[in-house]
Parts: sequence; C-alpha cells; structure tokens
Amino acid sequence: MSQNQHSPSHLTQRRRFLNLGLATITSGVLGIGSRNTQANPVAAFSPEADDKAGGGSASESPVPKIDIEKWRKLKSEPYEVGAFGEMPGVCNLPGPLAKRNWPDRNKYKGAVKVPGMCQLCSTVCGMIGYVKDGRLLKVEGNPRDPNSRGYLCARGQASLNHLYHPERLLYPLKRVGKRGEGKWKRISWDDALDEIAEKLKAVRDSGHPEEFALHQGRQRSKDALKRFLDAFGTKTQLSHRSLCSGNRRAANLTGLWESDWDLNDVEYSKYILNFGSNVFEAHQGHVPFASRVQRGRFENGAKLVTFDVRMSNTAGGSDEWHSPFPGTDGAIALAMCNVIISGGLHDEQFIDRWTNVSVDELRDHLRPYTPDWAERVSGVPAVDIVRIATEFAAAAPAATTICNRGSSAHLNGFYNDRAIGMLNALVGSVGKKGGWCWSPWGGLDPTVKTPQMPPGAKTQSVLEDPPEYPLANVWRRMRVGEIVYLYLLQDRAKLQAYMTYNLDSPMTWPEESMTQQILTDESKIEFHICINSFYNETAHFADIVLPWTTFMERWDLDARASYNLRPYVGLRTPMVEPLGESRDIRDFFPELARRIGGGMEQWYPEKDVKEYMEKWASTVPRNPETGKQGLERLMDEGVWEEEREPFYEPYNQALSDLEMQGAVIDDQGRISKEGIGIGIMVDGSPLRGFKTPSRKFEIRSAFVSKIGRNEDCSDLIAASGMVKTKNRPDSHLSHDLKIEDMPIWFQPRELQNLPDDELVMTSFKWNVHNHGRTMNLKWLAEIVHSNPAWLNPETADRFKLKNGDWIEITSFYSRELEKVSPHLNRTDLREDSGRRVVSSMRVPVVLMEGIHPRVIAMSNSCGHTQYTSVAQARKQPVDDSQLAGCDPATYQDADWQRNMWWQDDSQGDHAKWQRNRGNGWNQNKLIPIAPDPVTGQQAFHDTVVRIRKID
Amino acid sequence: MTRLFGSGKLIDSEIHDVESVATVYSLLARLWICEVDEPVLKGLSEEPLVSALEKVGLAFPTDSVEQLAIEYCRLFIGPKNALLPMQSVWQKTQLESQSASSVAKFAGLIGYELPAPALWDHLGVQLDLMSHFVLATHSHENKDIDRDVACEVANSFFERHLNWASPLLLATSQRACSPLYRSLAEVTQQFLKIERVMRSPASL
Repeated sequence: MSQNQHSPSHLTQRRRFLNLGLATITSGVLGIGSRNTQANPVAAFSPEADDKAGGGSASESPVPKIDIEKWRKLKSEPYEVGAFGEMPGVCNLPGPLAKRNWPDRNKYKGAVKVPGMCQLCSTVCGMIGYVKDGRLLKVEGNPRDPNSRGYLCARGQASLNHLYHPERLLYPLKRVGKRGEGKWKRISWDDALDEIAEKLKAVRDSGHPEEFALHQGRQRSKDALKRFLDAFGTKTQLSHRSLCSGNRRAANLTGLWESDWDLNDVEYSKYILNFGSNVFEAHQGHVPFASRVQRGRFENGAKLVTFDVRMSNTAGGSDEWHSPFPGTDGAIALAMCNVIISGGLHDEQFIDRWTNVSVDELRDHLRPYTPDWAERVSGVPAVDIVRIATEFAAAAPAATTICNRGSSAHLNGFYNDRAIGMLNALVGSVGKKGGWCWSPWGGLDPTVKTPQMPPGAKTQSVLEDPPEYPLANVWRRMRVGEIVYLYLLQDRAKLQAYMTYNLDSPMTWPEESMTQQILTDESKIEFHICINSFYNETAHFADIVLPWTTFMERWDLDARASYNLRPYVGLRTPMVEPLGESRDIRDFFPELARRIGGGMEQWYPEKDVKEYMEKWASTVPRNPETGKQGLERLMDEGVWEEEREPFYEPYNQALSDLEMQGAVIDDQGRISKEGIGIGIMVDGSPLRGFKTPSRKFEIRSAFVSKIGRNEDCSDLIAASGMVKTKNRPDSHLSHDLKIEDMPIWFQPRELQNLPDDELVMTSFKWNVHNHGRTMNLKWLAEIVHSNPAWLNPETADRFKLKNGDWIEITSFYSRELEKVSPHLNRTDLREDSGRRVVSSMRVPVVLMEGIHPRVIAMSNSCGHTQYTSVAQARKQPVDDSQLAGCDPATYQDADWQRNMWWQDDSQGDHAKWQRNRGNGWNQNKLIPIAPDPVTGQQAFHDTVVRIRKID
Repeated sequence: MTRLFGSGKLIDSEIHDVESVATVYSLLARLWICEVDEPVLKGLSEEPLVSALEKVGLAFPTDSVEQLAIEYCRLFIGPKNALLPMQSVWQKTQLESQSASSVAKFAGLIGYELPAPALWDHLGVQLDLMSHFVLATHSHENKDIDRDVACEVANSFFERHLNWASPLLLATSQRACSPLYRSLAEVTQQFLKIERVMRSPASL
C-alpha cells in the first residue's frame, strides 16, 4: 500500500493506531487464541482462554488462509450488499421504490420450503416458509392444512416482521435497578437457569409449591408447560381464558358436555345468525371460519344476519345489521325462541327425541320473552325479531347461530349464550350439515400420544381455582384470570415465584394500573421470570427475562378444532435457527428441571427436542405415495388429516353389539356400563346420544344448578360418561350460587334505566391485530395504530361534541358485582357520589353512524408503553436521559427514523394532535375487573362511563 | 523484537503494519462484541497499552465491570431503545438481512466460526473477521497471485461490511454515558476512516 498521497495528520493518526496494535500485541491482552482460524473472540477473553488456545503457544495459532477457489466461486454469485432490492423487513414498507425491484426473479431460486404453523393469533394456520441461506424470505399458507386451506391473513404475512424485528429479545437479561425501572444487564443462560433453579428449589422446599405460578398468554405448547409444572408439583397454571371465551365455552358445555367449542358448519348453511361476533376480523376461527362463511354465502346462498352494537367489518359485510342495546343478545334470542315455538316453527321430533325438555315446557318457559318485550330491552324492532326467527326456522336444519365475545363478555353472558344455543335446538340444526356443530377434537388428532407425562400436581390455590366461580373449572380448567392480581392485592394468595410466558397482562388485563402495581410489588410477587420474544409491558416488571424463540424457530405439534369436523395434526418446526441466544421452553425446560432436580429430571429422558418430537409424532401413519411416516412425514407435508367422516349427528350413531355387551338400560332409556353412561335407547335402538347426563342436548341443566349449590353431582357425571368432570372441591363449600337450570335473561343493575349522561363502553379488535402482540409489527401497525373513541353523532350532539374533539372518559365499577360478588370488595377504588371510580382517560372522538347511541367504543391492541418503538410509534427514544452528551440538533437514529409517519409530535397538546397519529390508548386503564359470577368470564362490554368534553 | 502471532518472525516494516492493523481490528472487535470483563479491564489499564490507547483517544474505563455491563446492555442490547450494532438493522431495519448471509459467506472462506452470542453482521464480528482477512494477506507470501486475491477479499469485505457503521458510531458517541463507549465509537470511526482511505483505489 502506498501512503504517499496522504496528509501528515492522517499518517500521524495511522501511526498511532499501528502503535496501538503493537502495544496490544505486547500487552497480551487479547490472548493468542484470537488468531486461531476457529476464532472466537469471546472465548479468547474468558479466563480459560489460554488453556483452550494452547496456553499461549504461538505455534498453535496459524495465520488464516483464504480458500481461493471458494472465493472465486462466491464472487461469481450475483449478490451485492446494498443492491439486492427491498427485502421484507420491519421498516421496508411496500412503496414505489420497493416495487421497482420487485419481484426479484432470483429471490426464491434455490429456496427450501419448510412447513410451520402461524402463532400470531390463536388460529394456528398452516404455513410454508421459503428459506435460503438460513434466512426466511417469505411465508405463505399451507394448502394442505385442512382448517386454513392455504389462506394466511395479514398477521401471518407479517411473520417476517416478527422474526427479524430489530428489537427482539436475543439474550437473557437480569434486572439491576428497581423492579420496573428498566435497568438490565445481559447474563448467560447458565447464570439465568442457575438463579431460577435455586429460587424454584426454595419454593418447593418451603412446602408451598403452589406459590410458584406459571401465567400464560397465548400458548401452543400445552404439553411442555404441563410437563414442567406437574413435574415440579404445582397446579397454579394461570391463563387468559376467562378474558376470552369462558362464557361461550360454559354455555356449550352445559348443552353438550363433550365440547366447549361450537363449530358452525357455515360453509353449508343457508342462514347464519350472528350475535355479536366479528367473524371477519376477530373470531378465534379467523380466516378458516371467515372464508367458510363467505363460501356459504356466495356458493350456497346463505344469508348472514348480524346483531352488534357496532358496525364491525362483519356487520358491514352482512346482509342485515341490527344494533341492539349492549348485552341484550340473549333477550333477542329468547324472543326468537318464543316466536319459533309459539308459531309452530320448531322441529318437534328433534326436541322430543334429542332435548331434555318438552315443547310444552318450552312454551311455558318462553312465554314472558315476547318480541315486544325484547324490543323494549334491546331496541330491535319486534317485527324484525319475528321475521328473522321465521327465516331462521325455515332454513333449518341448514341454519346456525354464531356467537362469541360480543354476546358472552357480559355479566349475563353465560345466559346470553345459552339462549342463543337453544335456538339451534329448537329448529333441529344441532349437529346437522350446515347447522350448529362441534367436534370432540379441540386439538390434536388423538392418534398422536404425548410422550409419558408426570402425574398431575395436587396443589390448591385460589388464584387457579377461586371458589366463588362454580363453572370456571368443573368441566375444563378455564380459571378466572382477571382476579389474579386483585386476590394478590387482597393477600388472598402470594407468589414466591411467578413465571410469565407470552403474557402481556398490563395491556390485556382489566385495570392496567393495578396490574402494574402488583407486578412491581416484591412482597406480592417475590421473583418474576418472564419468557417472551419481545420486551413488553410484563417483561418490564420482571427480574429475569428469557429470550423466547419465535414460532418460526421452534417445534410443536399443533391443531385447532377444525371446521372440517375431523381431527388433524399440524407441525410447527424451526424454519431457521433461533436468532441470538433465544430458546424455546422445549429446549431449556429440561435443563432447568435437571438443575432443580428432586425427580423432575426423570420426565425429560430425551436427548433433545427432535427426539421428543419423533416420539410424539411416531403414530402419524405412513403416506403410501411417499413412504414417509411420523415426524418425517410431517416435515414433508406439514400436516396430516385423518380420513374419517365429518362429525355430523354423532348422537345418532348406533352402539355396536360389542358396546352393548354387559350394558344396563335404566327406566329413562339411558344405557350404561359399570355405572358409566354410554348411550340411550331411541325407538328401540341403542344410540350414542349426547354425552350429557340425560344423553340428550340439555336445554335444562340440573348439573349447573346443583353444582352452583355445591351439591354432589357424581350420578350426573357418571351418566354423562364424561368422567373427567369433577364436583367442586371442599374449598368451594359455603360459596354457593344460584344458577338457573334453563336459559333466562337478566340485565345487570348498572344497565337498567341507564341515565342520559352515562354510556356503555365496548371494545373491539381489528383484523390486522391480536390483543397485545402485534402492534410491534410494522406492516400491521402502519395499517392500524390508533384507537379514538367511536361515538354516534346523535350522542355527540347531546354532549356538544364534534369529530376530533377530545373527551375525558371516567369509568365506574359494576353495581351488579357490588351486590352479587361482595367478595371482590373493591373498597380500594375511589368513591365519588356513591360510585366506585375505576379510572379516567383522555381520548379524541370519531363520529360515525355505525354505533349504538348509548355506546362508546374503543378498540384494544393500542396504547403500548413498551413493546418496541413501533408499538409506541416513536422514531427515537423518548427518555432524554439516554441522550446524555448528545447534541439534539444533530442526533441521528436511523433505525427508526424512516417511515414512522404516524409519530405523534403534539406532546400532549390536544389542539396540535393530528388524526391517525400516535399509538393510541390502552382501553384497559378504564375497564374494571368484572367476572361473570357464574363462570368468571370478564365482562369487557358492560362498563358504564361518563364523558365530558375537554376544552 | 516483538514476537508475533504464531509466525515467530522478527518484525519487518510491512508485516509490522499488517499485524498491527489486524490487532487493532481485534481489539476493537473485542470491545464491541461483548461486555468488558476483569482480565480485559486489567489489560487496558497497564502499559504499554494504556499510553497507546490514550494517544488514539480511547478513554480508560473508570467504571466497574458491572457498571460497564449495564452500560453495554443499555447501549447495544436493550431491551429497548438500543443501538444494535448490526449492519442489517442500520441498512434494512431488521435482523439478519442479506448482509448477515454475506458475512457468513466471507467467514466460510477462512473457516471462521460465529462467536456464540453474536449475529453474523454484528460490528464486533465484522471487525474480528476483518482482522483475519488482514492477516491472510500475508499468509500467501510465496504466491503473488494468491496474495492479490487475499487483498481483494479483504478489500471487498471492508467495502461491503465495514462501510456502514458511521450512523451507529455517531449515535453511540452521542448517547453513551460511559467515556469508554463514547470514545470507543469515536476511535472506531477514526480507524475505519483511515482504513477506508488506505483501501481506496488511489492508495493501492
């Protein structure tokens, strides 16, 4: 190299660096090992480096040689950094420049297709990843997936944002400041697991293993979590089910027992009656369900009628939309039942044969629920109720209801959903093609067997099984997630160790401020381990954060209840190697178990995750065309669906002679063997029937009434054949609750005669987001990032508001719960004029006709305070203390500077706020903890609020 | 006479330069790639290194290893608002873009394995890999053609993977609270600038 052209100062500076190099060599600070061709600079500086590198022997550190042939070959490949076009990435938005070089013809050349399953919502659609050079280039739907059929929604398409997000957690972190202060240091996995193991051992040694809780958000590794907790010996596994679908599940279980999940056969329906479900955007069935709804409509001529307080995209895309007063879905359904029975539109044979009530009983029960009455409480014209009921009955049996959180997330939600379900029984569409169906396979095909699991833990905790909620845990462990932090506040329980997993409770749980308060309090939660892919609002309050792999970097067998009404098995597989030091629980739980010891380790005999997966998938049969079976077949195809008939009319299945051998028939025709129900005699033939105590669809449920009163239901459980159903434990004694045996309807006290200055707050979800885990994804956040409150113009007139004005919303605790759930004892909430105030929040309003005049709506998903810069809509750090020594005028932070056009620069000045700017507001600041007293389902849609204009 | 890395040869001026440059790359790589530990902290505090560091402007750390680890985490790991020292992040605003694949391919030329806790296009990895390429320019001393190829590789690598870091280094020098990391960014900037000039066509 020539230096002749360079300035004296340049040469002087270079000389200084050369001297630095020499001095460094002389000092030996780098160690000899750094020049090894297998160099590892980190290892080179470890205390053992000298030994590993040959004790400093220079002769053992050969100077590297370049593989010249390899270079010549490499050089001929047409890749150039900076000239490869716009690759999918967090901030590379599709636009004119991106399109100019898109698609790159060579982009997918040589890419390998790897199967996987999405996990950006609960629907787990099959995916195929295109992997090249160890990088995932794109994902698409897996057409073999029987449920999703190759569709992948916007969330799924944004998987690349998730995987390659620059703010992903890549290393274990340990808190070094106060909890919640946000100060961390990186630690090794060894140190992290040692510290966690030591703490968990101490919990176990304390004799209170139940004081170790795992609190999960969306999880699809059920076996791995249960294995770890059972092996440890705690049953305190907390979930979000009661924040989601508790009432719907309980209502389904009341009628069916064998399934908590209705699978509406909409693809073959003629009439789809939708009570409050935003099917096209937010239903757990998502694209598999929405696509079948549309096929039913456009290929089968189905009519879609939607009741929703808000004109959702589903309501807007329906044939009819009606906007009832909040929480009156059950009243409308009962009135429709009344119309059907009184008009003789019912299916008499189905009711007589397959329900446990007579038409006369129904007529008597439904008499008060007239269409006029329903019009008075709901606002939906009686004439429409009559017409729709008549149309629904005429279309049966190819007619089905749909319901979800819109009807169930209320204090009367259990009854709403039972009334809606009854409609199907009255018209005989239960289990029929095109009707209201279900399947017993809520997950994986039962052909695949999890490798041997530990025996279930036997501990008891009010956090996992609060005694006040009779139906929360009797059929399935749905739990009552929203009371966890309240019960900790009230010292009804404490946690020595708390492991959160894919959870964002401050965002998604009601009463954000109390959640934060408890997560901060080391006397309530002594030690908090957070497992997550991103630093979210929960991780912020952790003591140790473990970087979790994304769903494109880990293993699972997974499936949902399929709308094909038959089970299947899907494979989630690492499409690429985990980034950084992120690890899945399947990978590090065995290691943690071995460190905890005491017998835990025996439940992890496999040498690695792959071996575990091979065992788990070993019963997947051979594909005769490819010759592959087990995991190898799943790796090839991504999914396997068993060939069997759809689960139509299972109750009509005849029992075989073998099944009838030794069977006993009682005076009601119920068939049992050894005291366990197996069927029912119908017209002299032994049939399977429903898996309920009566072996019929139970419109009237003696079980729920008895279980509410803590009575022994052993005989009913045995007759159903569902022997995993349990009586309530002794800890529930004295916590009796009256539960109606028939579907009824009542209105919570605070919604009766709602004063003019009060509104009912409702929440909703967008089609590009899940509740708390997608606002960090740039492609999705750009589409939806803010959530002003929706108001009807008529309402706005009353409050003298116009579009874009700011209001202060004040929310109140439930009067109904003050009366019926005194154990909640919310004396911690401030009292104002006889009302308990939850919180206040300031938001702008957007006016639109598509909302009930007594309702104010806000979407969830917005208002993150952590969870990456994208979720906060910030180009650069907000904390000025982090800019010490910098000149703000020249400060550059190029990573987020580009394209974040929606950053809100108003700095809290409402007059300067621009529409569609900012990251929105967390509605859960306002929503009170409000468990349905029967099931514990959080009543997200019943909050009474007052609003006032901010000048 | 200074004994060099495994060669055992006496210093002549050209090798002297090569080894020194490679070592500076190595030293900077070490400071970028992970937190400072006690042995490194001790080494930095002793002569002759402490004087040489001072002359190029690298501040001797007065903070404890623990404080430096916290500062390193805040600056380069996060968990939020970090200045991730990865080329992909600064050029493509994502992790593991094609620059990572490219570095991995370069590493394959000399059998270099990824240091466990880092990603391929981490600045520390790139600096360390560059030190190997610099050294490699003198591992083919008997064949001029091969040596030219080695220079070509080193220059290509520099051009593709050490030409991106200015915004990161500027931001680091502005945001760092610790003198060590503020000066590390500045010194790295200076060194890469000198190297850029040395590797420009006019210098070759």
